Amino acid sequence: MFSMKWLAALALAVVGLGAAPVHAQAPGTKLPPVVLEGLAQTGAKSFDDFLGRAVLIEFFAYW
Amino acid sequence: MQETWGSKGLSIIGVTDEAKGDTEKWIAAKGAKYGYGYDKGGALARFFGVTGIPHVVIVDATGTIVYAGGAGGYSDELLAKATAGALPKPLWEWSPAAKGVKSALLKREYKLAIDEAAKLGASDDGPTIKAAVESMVKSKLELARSAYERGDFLGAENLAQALSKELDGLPEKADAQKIAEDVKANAEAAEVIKLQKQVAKIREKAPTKRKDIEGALEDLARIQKSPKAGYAATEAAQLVEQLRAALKKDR
Repeated sequence: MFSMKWLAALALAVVGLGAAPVHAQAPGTKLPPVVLEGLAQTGAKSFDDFLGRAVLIEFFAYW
Repeated sequence: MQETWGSKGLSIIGVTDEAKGDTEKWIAAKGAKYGYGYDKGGALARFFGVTGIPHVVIVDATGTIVYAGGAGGYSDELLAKATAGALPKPLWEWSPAAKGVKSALLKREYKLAIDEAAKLGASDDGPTIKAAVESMVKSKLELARSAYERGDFLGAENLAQALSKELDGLPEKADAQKIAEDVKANAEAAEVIKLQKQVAKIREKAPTKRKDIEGALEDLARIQKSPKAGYAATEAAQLVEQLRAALKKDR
């Protein structure tokens, strides 16, 4: 899945995403219902399918 | 990473709010094999306060955020904690025979899930699935208990109340009810919960204008100064840090 090379490439591509958010969720917060569209390269059909798994969510952009 | 941690209970998912066409081209060009999905409108990114990429959020097997930050900021120790009690195989890899367990889990009916798992044979991973579900129950209870012990009475109350329903028919239901009762009986809890709700309300409002942020900081300072704030002061301090960072960035 995620290779170290890929992660390293992403790490080098640190970019801003726009307006400063002010409600970053601190550890200890429960994850709200998550809606992800167009799940690809995974057997999951919705985020609910990750139930009972620990999940590492990596925000990425193609550019 | 998936190879190392996947069988221990970790799933990895990439999330983007970019256009599908461009993303697919990029994924294909990179030969990336990981699962990914689209956060249309960036709602999830906003929830997590994503300010730069890469940004990683790790959620443990009970659905609790245990890490949010840079790609290199978490440790194997944290991953080990996050995967404690996690299902070794994701739901979609289960045998079709386990559909009853899956259905019960999605409805958070843990007794039914355990009963259904007990009907499965070894070839359908029955014993493994049953043990994993039982472990999930224990982890959830532990989460509520640890919230209570650190004085997070609102978190403990919410978790214990939810578990009291989800664990219906299981002996652990009594443990969940005990935690909820302990919160009610705790003389300090009512005031802490009241202040925790105020902090949560400020967080939900997600102020973006300088004037609103400054007002929120004043409210949070008042909460922090309250002699009975307890864990609410800790939560207020975390939010103050985020708000100050937002103000700094706005300069």
